[in-house]
Amino acid sequence: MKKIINTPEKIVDEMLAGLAAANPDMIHLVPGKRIVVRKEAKEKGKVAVLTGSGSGHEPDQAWYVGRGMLDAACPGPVFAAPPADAIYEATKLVDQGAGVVYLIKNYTGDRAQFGMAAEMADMDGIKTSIVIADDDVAVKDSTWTAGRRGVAGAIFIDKIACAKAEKGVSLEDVVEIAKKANSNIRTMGFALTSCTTPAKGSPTFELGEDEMEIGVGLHGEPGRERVKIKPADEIIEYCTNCVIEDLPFKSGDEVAVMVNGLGGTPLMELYVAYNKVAAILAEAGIKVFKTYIGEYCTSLDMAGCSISLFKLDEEMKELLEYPVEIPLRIF
Amino acid sequence: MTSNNTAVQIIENIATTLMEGEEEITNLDAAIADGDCGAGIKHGFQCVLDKMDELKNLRTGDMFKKIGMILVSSIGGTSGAIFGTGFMKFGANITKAEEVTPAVIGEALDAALAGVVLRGEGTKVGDKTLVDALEPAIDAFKLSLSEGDDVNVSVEKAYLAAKQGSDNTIDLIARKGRASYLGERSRGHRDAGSYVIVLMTQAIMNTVK
Repeated sequence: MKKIINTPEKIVDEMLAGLAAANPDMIHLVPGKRIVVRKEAKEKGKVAVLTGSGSGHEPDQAWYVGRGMLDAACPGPVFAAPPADAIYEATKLVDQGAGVVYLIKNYTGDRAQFGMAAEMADMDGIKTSIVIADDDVAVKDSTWTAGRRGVAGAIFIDKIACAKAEKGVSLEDVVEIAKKANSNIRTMGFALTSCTTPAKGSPTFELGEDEMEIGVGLHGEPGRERVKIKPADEIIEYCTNCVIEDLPFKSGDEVAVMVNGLGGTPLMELYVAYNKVAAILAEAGIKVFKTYIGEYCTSLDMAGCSISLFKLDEEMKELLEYPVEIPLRIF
Repeated sequence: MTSNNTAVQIIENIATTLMEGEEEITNLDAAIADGDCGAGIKHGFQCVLDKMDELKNLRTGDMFKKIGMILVSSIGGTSGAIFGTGFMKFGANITKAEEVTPAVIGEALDAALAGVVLRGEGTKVGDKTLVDALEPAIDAFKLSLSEGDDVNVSVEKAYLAAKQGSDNTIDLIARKGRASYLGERSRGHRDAGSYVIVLMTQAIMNTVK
């Protein structure tokens, strides 16, 4: 395995230390715990929003902490749920009296640990509510969860919920719009390679030189099927149509589109993919409001991408455009 | 039975027994899941042993609560949350009691089971999980106490019930956890979590004999 790494045991903490050192104006770390918090606390009385999941999906989620977006993020070990005690500590830190919304993806480990943290917060009188992203249309009941998985589309939910919270609405209002967003997002992805975790040092699953895994999970869990690799337009058409048919998205709908690189795919290829997505949407009469093309929720060094469509209304469009100050920038 | 010393001994024996049983737990888990149960349990209880000097100075209930919290973070994932919740709920109920009698222990065990079931999102006997051993063990313990048995007899009955419950998991199809995605292929293998409960009850039995 070739990685920029010192030791597997230290990689997550060194990553977080690097992130904090690079953005002292926006975020800071909590000593002794893996918690990334906004530099300036949100105003009193506003609902706080925090997320957490395994590390290995960067920029998800520590890079989404900042003004206008997350109050805090709790990164777990690579591909493992964050521990309840860290989530609980983060909850106490970010609560501004209006409660805390936990945005998580549908995986049993995350549900269990956040469930515990919610109980612990409740004992302290802090109101919490868990919203679960399950946007993946690929499979149901796979090896990491019951029901559909939460994948890159969850980032849209984060954006919507955080923008709504900035407006000073109630916990219930933030939860409601997050759930509404979730019900309007669908995602489908595929992998051209597996990924290599620091601890294992070798690919998490075997994929032949000429094979791809359709509907792969974010940790390399099995998808729908393993097939011979096809030309871009063919794979992209298949995945996009799976997404369109699932909601279904219809002619006249307005959407946000995310073409999410899984970590091992060059930007060039993501735009080849989007070129086909754009054509399919145009033909289907589906209007594109905004595109999000790049790495939003990766799987370490997996080659491949996922395509998400998010059906919008006027309020969702406004919330998507709400300004954020987070540690992600081009210039 | 109610002195903190006994509780400390029980914890230490549970930890030792589980750590000695790591390989078997791992093999069971690897057969139908991802094989990380043994390592996780071992790591969790090692973390508990590492903090024992501090833990033994706590009141019994608080000690179990703290142990639960250590297990949640150190084992992690769903298993950590489930085992941790069990210890935490047990401890919380012990803390509330004036005096730690066997009856109080029975109620605390009920609370522990309820916590485990809640964290597992509605786990039942027959789902092929730790609950298949834990619920019969607790039922046997309480029944035995109500019939006037000495506590060490009740604990032995709990161990035997756990063992039977774990044996029963062999022929079940898993309905929870990673093994549940194997469907029919999970049949013919013992559930690792239920085996962990067997080892725990065995350790408790050997301590109070």
